[in-house]
Amino acid sequence: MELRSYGDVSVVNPQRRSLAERLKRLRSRWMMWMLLIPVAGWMIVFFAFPQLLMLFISFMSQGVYGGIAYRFTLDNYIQMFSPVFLNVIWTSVEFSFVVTVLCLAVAYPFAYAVVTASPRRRMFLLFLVIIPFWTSQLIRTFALMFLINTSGLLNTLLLQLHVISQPLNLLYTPFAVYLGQFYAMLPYMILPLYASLQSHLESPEFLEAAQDLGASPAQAFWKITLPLTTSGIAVGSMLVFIPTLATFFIPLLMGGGKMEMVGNFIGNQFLSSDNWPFGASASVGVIAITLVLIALMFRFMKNAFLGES
Amino acid sequence: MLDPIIELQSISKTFESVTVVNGVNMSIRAGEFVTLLGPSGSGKTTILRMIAGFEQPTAGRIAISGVEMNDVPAHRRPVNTVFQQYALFPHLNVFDNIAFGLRLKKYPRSDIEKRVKAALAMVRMEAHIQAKVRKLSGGQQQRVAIARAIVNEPKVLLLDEPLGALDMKLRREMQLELKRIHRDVGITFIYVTHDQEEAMAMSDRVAVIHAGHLAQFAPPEEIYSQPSTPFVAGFIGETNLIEAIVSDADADHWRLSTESFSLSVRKRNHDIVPGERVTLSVRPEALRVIGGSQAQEPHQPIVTGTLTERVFVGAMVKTFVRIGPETIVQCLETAVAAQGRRIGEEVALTWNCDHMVTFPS
Repeated sequence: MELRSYGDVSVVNPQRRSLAERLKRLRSRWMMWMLLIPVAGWMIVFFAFPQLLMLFISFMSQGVYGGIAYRFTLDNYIQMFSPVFLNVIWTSVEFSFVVTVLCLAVAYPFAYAVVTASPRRRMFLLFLVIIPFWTSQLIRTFALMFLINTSGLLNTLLLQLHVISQPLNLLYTPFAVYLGQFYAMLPYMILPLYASLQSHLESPEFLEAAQDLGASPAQAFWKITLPLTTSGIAVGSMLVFIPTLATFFIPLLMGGGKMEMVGNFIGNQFLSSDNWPFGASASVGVIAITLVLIALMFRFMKNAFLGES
Repeated sequence: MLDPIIELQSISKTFESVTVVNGVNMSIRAGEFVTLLGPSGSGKTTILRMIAGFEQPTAGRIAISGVEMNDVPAHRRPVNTVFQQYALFPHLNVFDNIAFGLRLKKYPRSDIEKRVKAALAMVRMEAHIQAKVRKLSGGQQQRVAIARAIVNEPKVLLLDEPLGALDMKLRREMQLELKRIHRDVGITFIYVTHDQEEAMAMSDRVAVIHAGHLAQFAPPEEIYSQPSTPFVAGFIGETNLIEAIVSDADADHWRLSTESFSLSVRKRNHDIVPGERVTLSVRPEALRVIGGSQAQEPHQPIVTGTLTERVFVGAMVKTFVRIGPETIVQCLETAVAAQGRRIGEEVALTWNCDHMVTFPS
């Protein structure tokens, strides 16, 4: 009866694979390398090499007339602990944190609405999220500037409606920087939250189980939906926090240079102060801060998701 | 009858013009183990979900302990569900999963711990109290899901094909476990399955659901011996369905004719008249294969035919006999009785008409 099937079971000895099998393995490994080469090459030339160069320069001295003097020093790292630089770092971290929280607060309800909308509406709402990607960030920032400057659309409208008698001074304020950064980052928060909520709400069994055990819709949200979408929250927060920490032209254009972020500070070292070694060490410092934050985020996610009582 | 714990009064459910449940009436007693049995798509899970409150009936009334439930949301109903895919919360460990309902009801902490431990003892999972649910096997997750439901002491426990994802051996084991748990906690169980053996083995009463209708609601023995429709007869166990016509009737007998034989059966309460078509159902084990010369009981039909196939099923042999151009019946005989028969042989069949059911077509 079923005995015949035993004959088909081949006992695989890992030491002695057939030639064909070995060739197949070799081929697949070769294929793997071939597929990796373009990306690996790109990353080496345009990412790893510049980073190493920057690391190298960060240990060099500033030349008497600017530029780089090839003498080893730790001064650039010691200089990072100056109150001026620490203040800039703190401003940036605080700013990034607030922007991330704002994006999360707006994006989560929005993503929830998108997931629960009818298919047609959902396509439309997602479309709204995607449209900004068609235009350069720089151009969109200029557009926003025109919208809120003293003779801009917003002020004109409010003046015409007699809501205000004097134009509001919105541009070149911290408010404008927050607004610009928030606006630029929002889609990066919405999309991971959408993906995460989508997969959670697609299988309603957890929510039904929570309801079944006596949870009201609000309780089910806080106890089930929110914890089960932690990964989306974490990914979205990272996608917003990290670029915001290094933001450069939004504070420059919308803050009019009044709000100095670490990105502007580093930019100035290269562009105006001509202190490349300090610019390089500051960049290394930002990368280090980012890596630490990512590590913390992963740890938080793991704990939140695998849950210890 | 005692006060019913659950009462379904002509409930129907229509999803976008498709009627999934159609006028089902059921009355379930406290402490009963009731199974909703039917093929997939018959509407049995929808009935369960309406009792749980996940679906609203399009028409009809649902009452639990005499209280109408139609407008009560799922989280306020005195029932708990064991889901087919368990639906254990992946971000919580075993203890927190089971404590979920108790914490929502604001039980004191020490009480929660005591109850969770008792529930885990009930399903024999004490050792895994701090385990992460993802690390548990399917059978263990199943046990945790049962504990999570019964810890809330619901009036009714709803089980939606809870053993569907388990392998055969584990299924058998969990069937016995569930029966034991049902005895121990003494609450009403409503169990959904498409497995008729499971339904027969576990239930006090079985509700056979067919195409959204309640086809029969009776104890397993009655469903087996007195099926109400040809569908029930065919769905529960195996049976031979033979088309016949009522050729004659006297005071207490009908004369039935098939394409190959005719027989006389005692009248039952059906209202059928000569000329009407009927369907006969005879279980394979009720058929007896006899040699031509063997004596037969008086008043028992005898039908001759050709043996077309024999299939060994362990201690028993399934023998297929062609008794007419369109009709092949199967008989279940012991291997000893079936010894020596060959395919192509002429045989005679007989059966006791008390074991045959007649359905009006």
